[in-house]
This record gives sequence, C-alpha cells and structure tokens, in this order.
Amino acid sequence: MSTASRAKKPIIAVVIIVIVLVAGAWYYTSTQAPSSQTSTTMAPSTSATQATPSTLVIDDPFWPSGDLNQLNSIYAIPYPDWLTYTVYQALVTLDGNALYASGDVKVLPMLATGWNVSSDGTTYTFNLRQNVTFSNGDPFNAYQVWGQFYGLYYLSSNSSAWFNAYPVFDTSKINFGPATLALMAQSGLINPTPALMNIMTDTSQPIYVTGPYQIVFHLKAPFVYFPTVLPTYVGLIFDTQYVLQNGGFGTPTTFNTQFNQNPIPGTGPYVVTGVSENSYVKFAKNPTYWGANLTAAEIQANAYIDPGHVQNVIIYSKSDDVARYTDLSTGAAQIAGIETQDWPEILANPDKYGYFVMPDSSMAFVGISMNTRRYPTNITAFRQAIVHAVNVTDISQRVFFGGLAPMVGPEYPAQKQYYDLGNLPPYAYNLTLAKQYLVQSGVDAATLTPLEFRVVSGCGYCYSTAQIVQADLAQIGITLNIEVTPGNEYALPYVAGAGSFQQGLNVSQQVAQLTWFGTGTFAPTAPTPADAWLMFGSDQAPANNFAIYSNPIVQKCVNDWTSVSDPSVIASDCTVAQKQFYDDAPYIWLGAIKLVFGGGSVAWQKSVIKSALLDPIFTGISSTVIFNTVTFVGS
Amino acid sequence: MNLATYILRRVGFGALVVLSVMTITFVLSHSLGGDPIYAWLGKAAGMHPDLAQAYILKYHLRDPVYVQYYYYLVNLAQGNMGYSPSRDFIPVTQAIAESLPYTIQIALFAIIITLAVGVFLGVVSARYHHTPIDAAIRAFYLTGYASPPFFVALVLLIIFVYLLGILPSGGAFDPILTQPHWITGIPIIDGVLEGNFSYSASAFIHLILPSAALALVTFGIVTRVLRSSLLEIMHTNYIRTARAKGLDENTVFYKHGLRHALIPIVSLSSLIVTWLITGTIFVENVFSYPGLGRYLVQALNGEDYPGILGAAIVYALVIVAANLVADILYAVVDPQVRLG
Repeated sequence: MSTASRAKKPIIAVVIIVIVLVAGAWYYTSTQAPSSQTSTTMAPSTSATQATPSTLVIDDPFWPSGDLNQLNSIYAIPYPDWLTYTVYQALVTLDGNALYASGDVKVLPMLATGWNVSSDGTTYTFNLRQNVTFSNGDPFNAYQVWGQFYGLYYLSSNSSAWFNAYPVFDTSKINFGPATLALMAQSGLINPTPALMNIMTDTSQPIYVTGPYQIVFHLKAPFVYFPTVLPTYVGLIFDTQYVLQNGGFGTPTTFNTQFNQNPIPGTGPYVVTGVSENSYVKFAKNPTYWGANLTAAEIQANAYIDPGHVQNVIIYSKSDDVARYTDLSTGAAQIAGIETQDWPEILANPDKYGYFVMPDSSMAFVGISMNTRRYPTNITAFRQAIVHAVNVTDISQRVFFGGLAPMVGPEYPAQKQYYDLGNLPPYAYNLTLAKQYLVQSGVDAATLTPLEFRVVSGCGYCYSTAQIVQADLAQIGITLNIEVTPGNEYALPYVAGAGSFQQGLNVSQQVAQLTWFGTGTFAPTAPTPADAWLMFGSDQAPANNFAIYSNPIVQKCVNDWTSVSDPSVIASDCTVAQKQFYDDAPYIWLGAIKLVFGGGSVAWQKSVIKSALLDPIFTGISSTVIFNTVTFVGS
Repeated sequence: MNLATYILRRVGFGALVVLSVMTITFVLSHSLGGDPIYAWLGKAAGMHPDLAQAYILKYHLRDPVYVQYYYYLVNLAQGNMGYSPSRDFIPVTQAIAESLPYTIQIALFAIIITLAVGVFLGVVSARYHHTPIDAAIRAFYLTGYASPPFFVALVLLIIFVYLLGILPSGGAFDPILTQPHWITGIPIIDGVLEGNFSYSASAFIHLILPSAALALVTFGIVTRVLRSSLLEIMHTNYIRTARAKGLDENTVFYKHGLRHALIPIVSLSSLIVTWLITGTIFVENVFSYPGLGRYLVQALNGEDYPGILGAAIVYALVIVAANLVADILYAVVDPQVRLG
C-alpha cells in the first residue's frame, strides 16, 4: 500500500462519519418534524389559535441554585424552585387569582383541609388531607410532615430561625438529633413504632402529632400570620420516608446530595422525569395525583392545586436572552423569561406576545439602602436630602418601562391592612427641600469625599438607575461613585443585608454608603405582613437589613409581630414605627415592580397560552410560571 | 539531546506550566474579596452562624491563602479536587467528568470544520490568488478571525434559529428522546454504541452551531497560512521542475504543492486547540451547552473556588497536552528542534 493511500484513509474515514451523521440528522429531522410541530416546536402565529401542545416548553434565565434538592429549602436559596406546587405542595397556599389580580393575600388549604387556633393564639392544629400519596406511592400523613420539619431543623444546626427565618418556636425545648433520626430510619414513618410515636406525640415539643392526619404547631408567642409562613420553602412537603430509605438527610454540613438530580417525591400534579445539569428538567403528569379529578369549581377556588393541562413539560435553563427570545419567537418555547435586552421586541408585538404584569399591590419591589452607621449617611438629615433629591418617576420611565408603582416601605403594598400605616406620601422629588436638608445635616458637599454606591454586576437596570441617582445627587452637590460589584463579591463585608444585622454592624465601615437591595428585585421570604419589618427594621434580622438600621420605636413594632395577638395593638405600635421609619429614611423605596424582571417579564405566545400564575410571593420562589396553572387557548 | 530526553523535558515544562496556572488561579480567585461563605450559603450564612462556621472550618476559609493552598495540594495529590459549592457540593471531579465530554465533542467537531473549511478556502484562495475570489475569501476569514466567539455565536443564532428556524437554539440534545447510558460521556458516541441513532442525530444537530461558532473564528488562520505556504511553494525550484517534466497543473498543485504546504498546519494545531478550548467558555454559555465552559462560568458566578480551579486545571492540561503533542510531532519531523 502506498504512502499516499495510507494518508488518505483518515480523511476518507472522517468524510464517511460526517456523511453518516448528516444523513442521520436528516432522517431524524424528517421523522421528528410532525411530532415536534405539535410538541416542542410551533410556527409563530399572530392570530390563529393553535392546538394544545403535548409538551409545554419554558425557557428560564436561571438554573436552580441548589439543583432540585428540597433539603436545601432551609437555606431559602433553592431559587428558582421550579418544583414549587408542581411537585411539592404545602399544607396551605395562597389564593393565586386574588393575589395576582389585586394583591389580596388570602390563605387557602392545600394538603391540609383546615386548621384551628387556640384561644391564646399560640397553638395551631392542622387537619391533613387523607388518601393522598406521594408520587412513588408512599402515603402522606402527619408523621411524614413531623419528620420533615424536624429533619430540616437538624440540618439547620438547630437554628432558631430554621422555619423560613421566623423565630416563632421555642427551640430550647426541642429534643431532636441523630438518635431520633436513627429511630425514624428504623421505624419508618408509615406506621411508626411505639417508641417513635412517644416522641412524635410529646406535647412539650413545639411540633407534635395527635394522630395520622393531625399535626400541631405550638408557638412561643402568638403569631396570627403563622399559616402564611407555610406556603414557601421549608413548608413544601416531600416524602420523608423516601429520604430515610435513600441515605437520610445527611448532616448539617453535608446534606444528602443524592437528591440533587433525583428529587424526592412530592404530592403535586407533576413528577420529574429527567434532569440534565444546568440545562433542563423534564416533567410529566403524576398519575397518582390526589387532585386529578378536581372539579372546575374547586380549581377555580384554588388554582395552585390544578392537575395541569399538558402531559409533559420541559423547562430549559438558557442564560442568553437572545436565545430565549429566539425560542419564543420561533415557537420552540411557549413561555420564556425575557429581560431588558429583548424586552422592546415583546412590547412591539402585542398581538403575538402576552406577559405578566404585577398588580400595584405586590410584594416585589426595588430600592436602595443607605448605611445608617457610616458617615455621612449616618446623619438623618443627609439621608432625607438624598431621598428628596432622587427622581423616582424619572427612574421608572427611563429604566423600568414605566413599571414602578410608588410605595412607602417597609411594609409590602400587598399587605393592605398594614401597608403605609398613617398614609404617609412617597418621598417627594424636591430639590429645594433636599438642599435645605443638606444644609441642616451640616455636611459640606463641596469637601465631601465621593459616596460609594454599590450595585451588582449583570443587573442592567440597577446600573442604569445608579447613573440617574448619580446625576440627581450631583444637582445638590453630592458626588457619587458607582461601584459595580461581581455577584460573588456582593456579600459581606461589602453588602450588609447578605448577613445578619449583627454581622452587618461589625463591618459597617466597609459597607458602601448606598447599596442596591440584594441582586435585583426583592421578594419576601414568606408572604406575611411581619416579613418586611423583621428584615428591614430589626436588630435581630437574620438577613436583608441592608441599611443596618434599628430604632427602639421600630423594634417595638418588630417584636409585636411575633408576640402580640391583637391586630389593633400591632397596628397602633406599627403606625408610630412607620412614622419613625419614614423620618429616619434608611431606604429609598423606588417602587413596586410591575414587570417580573424589573426591565422584562415572563412572556408567552398568545396564540397558545391563555393564562397562568406565578408563585405566591411574586417570583420570590420561582422565576417562571407555576406550570400546572397554565391553561391553553382552545382547550 | 535524544527524543526521549526532549519529550521528558517538554513534559516537565508542561507540568511546571500547569502548576503555575494552578497557583496563579488559586491566588487570584482567593483575592477577589468578599467572603465566599455568603456566596456559598446565601442567606443561610446569616441565618445560621453555626452552619457558616462549620463550613468555614471544613473548607479552611479563614486560613491564610498559603495554608488553604497547602490543603488544596495535599488533597489534589490524593485525587481530590474538593467539592463544588455551585453544584451543591458534589465532588469537582464528578462535575468535570459530567461536563468535559460535551466540551470534547464540540471541540472535536470544531477542529474538523476548521480544517475542512480552512484547507478548502486556503487552496481556493491560493489557486485564484489576486482575483476577486481570493479577496472575498480573505475578507471572510479576516471577519471571522477578528470576531470574538460569543459574537459569532449570536450571529449564527439569529441567522439559523431566529431567521431560518432550521437549528435548535441551545442544549446538547432533544430532551424528549431517551438518553443512552453513560459509556464515554460523549453523547454522539454513546448513542451510537447503544444503537440509539435518533439520539446521536439529535446530539449532532445540537452541536452544529456551537462547533461552527468556534470554527468560524479559527479557520481563518489555517486558510491564511495555507495560502501563503502554497504561494511560496508554487514558486520553488522543485515545482518548476515538476512543471518542466510536463505534469499538468492540477497534479503539480495538489500532489506536489499542497502536500508540502500542509506541513505548517501541524505547527498550528496547538494554537488552534488553544483557541477552540478557550472559545468554548463563551460559546457554551450562549448556546446553553452543558460543557466545561458553562461549568466554569457557573463556578465563577458562585465564587466556587474548587470549581474554578478544577476547570482551570483541566483547561491548562488540555492546552499543555496539545502543545506537547505539537512539539513532539515537530521534533519527529524536524530533528533540529531537539537541539534547541
């Protein structure tokens, strides 16, 4: 054989491989085209109604930070939790229709059929739904719920804030650790042994069972909004028996990671059928879903228990906005998160695309904190000068497509009963007043070192807003340096709210004078009226007190939430606190957002999708739709 | 210096490069500022100080950088690259094993496209030098050569997905299809080995755009070098002799000219591999391709030191290995190199 022919062999081999693959691809395309036309791919249409697809495809900008492991719920960072309500349900939920129509917060039963509260307001007894199973067939009962909550308590290193960061239980009375976990593993939670039942029914513990379908929560003080803490994070119920049979919870420093891509079964209408790390998650209808035969009226009353209207769902994680918009426009995805870059395309095609708009009274908002412990923002009059020099209306128009509803914090607008107690107006844009406050502060702006304003990199609207604030403050002589900080550095010691109040206080001189709230839009930990006060104004805040702000009058209101049962007392104390908060001005409340991503939202193809709901805390749990609530045009 | 000594020296030099990359990456990543515990645990670090403290102790987060580096090297020597916080603390080796095959797949196809397109256009350009065809080819490869990979990726996305709608916008395969078992980790090969040809075809379709985006940036250098090489060779004496023997021009060009002109491409191979591999970091993120580049960006965003280091080491190893192979080939082809 000649050298030349030997040299040609690899080339011929490569050519043959390419030909085979191209032929295979052609064959695949020609055979898959009809099915993909009805499942994952749809031709764009501006008017015609299309058939309900067999597969709903959703593009999300993110990938769940803790993968699909619900054990991470004690971190409150499995964001975005695509499994919320689709795979995992809670004992109670909120009325999604009312929430998204008018911002009304109304608690509804989900896995509980109802609850009652003791006369002193400290004991909540939940009656659980019977004949419910997890998707693997394991029964749902009070023992499973008990095991889950205490298992998560153990994983949190016995933290008093383990229950969605609400310190409502007297954890000093809890007797739970490796020995009890071992007993649970030995006994199981389907028919617990007498030894385990003795522990589960111990009424001296904060959480105990009184039967297979009744669980009791005993609070250390009255907290009238306790049920409202349950619809998120640690309140999402999974099959604890399955956890015990598959390696257990793990330890506080090493959670069982087996469930990262093999999620624990839930009771919801869908099950996970496939996972590709950082790429996609596949879902299919849960054949054993307890709510499969719910009536239309029951679904109308509580949309989050809807059994779903499509057999299969795929959620892709696609970080590139152009890719997501391309998918939506070509029909490769029916729903997609579209951010600022491509948002004008959505607005320009109102016949083709629908998108989510938050009600004015929501719990998601944007804002700027001022470090109350560092010169010169530690001077109240100086902060007042700033809040009156920032033109919030201009920011709304120029950065948020007009999508900011004015608000007066800290209370979330959706908590109407407690929102803006005292009817204080939003801080007015008034340069004359701002200059007066500046003089009153005693700060000489001419000799003042430029202030630091820290925003996270990658947040376009944060930076655009910072530029406007920079120009606004220049009008009263205050110079501002915008410091764009990588996401991984957007933490202590530079951002106070990333840690507890005390930790923020310890590093207060390193924290910038102005800081954007978190990494974009802000949503609550739990949708209670106590949430904002516990975070933004408490000297015991586990996180989110970005201004390192505290005041005894405000603290009284904070403490009332988890110790006083009379709403009128809370309202009275918090009205005084509201005025104090307003006068102290530790935060610039830019406004409640109307678009999910601030400068963009979750959009859908109008020709395919009729309606859907987002999560009950305004995308604080998930960045896309709760897909079992998606209804289709023509179905 | 004989060949074995030469290879040993090159291997030693390569090891030194990898160690340097590792050290620099370690120091730089640990000099970012901030506190990784808050990036790793999020709000939980503030809510659960005990938990944060446990992680700090376990991962030596408060120790001086050189102490942390000591622990890292000790663990690395035992094959332990640590645990990846951005992947919920799975072993870094596992995260790399899951993502690297995808990167290998698109890199291999990008090399094929680079060589096929680069050589073809180089030949045409030389054959029709100083004609409009030559000018057009030069403009084409210079445009690709001068464009960053992420830009090329976006242009391809808009053309082939948004406007033409003939290729998928991202991912590594159609999730509706049944995935084959993990054999090599490379989707196309695993599909073929299990007889799951639909899956292999789907994987092939999904790698066209990422591979093409990488190749469009790199093929230009092949075209350019080949064109220059061909034009130079076609004016040498032995080509003149071949023509004088009465051989037809095609035989002279392809058989005598092209074969010799291809030799410089060998020396370019390490450069091409380097460009392709680093380009995957950008391209994989545009196309949501679950390879090592996407993992690296995920690790960077999460202040995932072990992940950043693991990915950087693998990238360094691949680049060093490519250079080593090129050096060895060079030494085999040209013994004078060994003397240098």
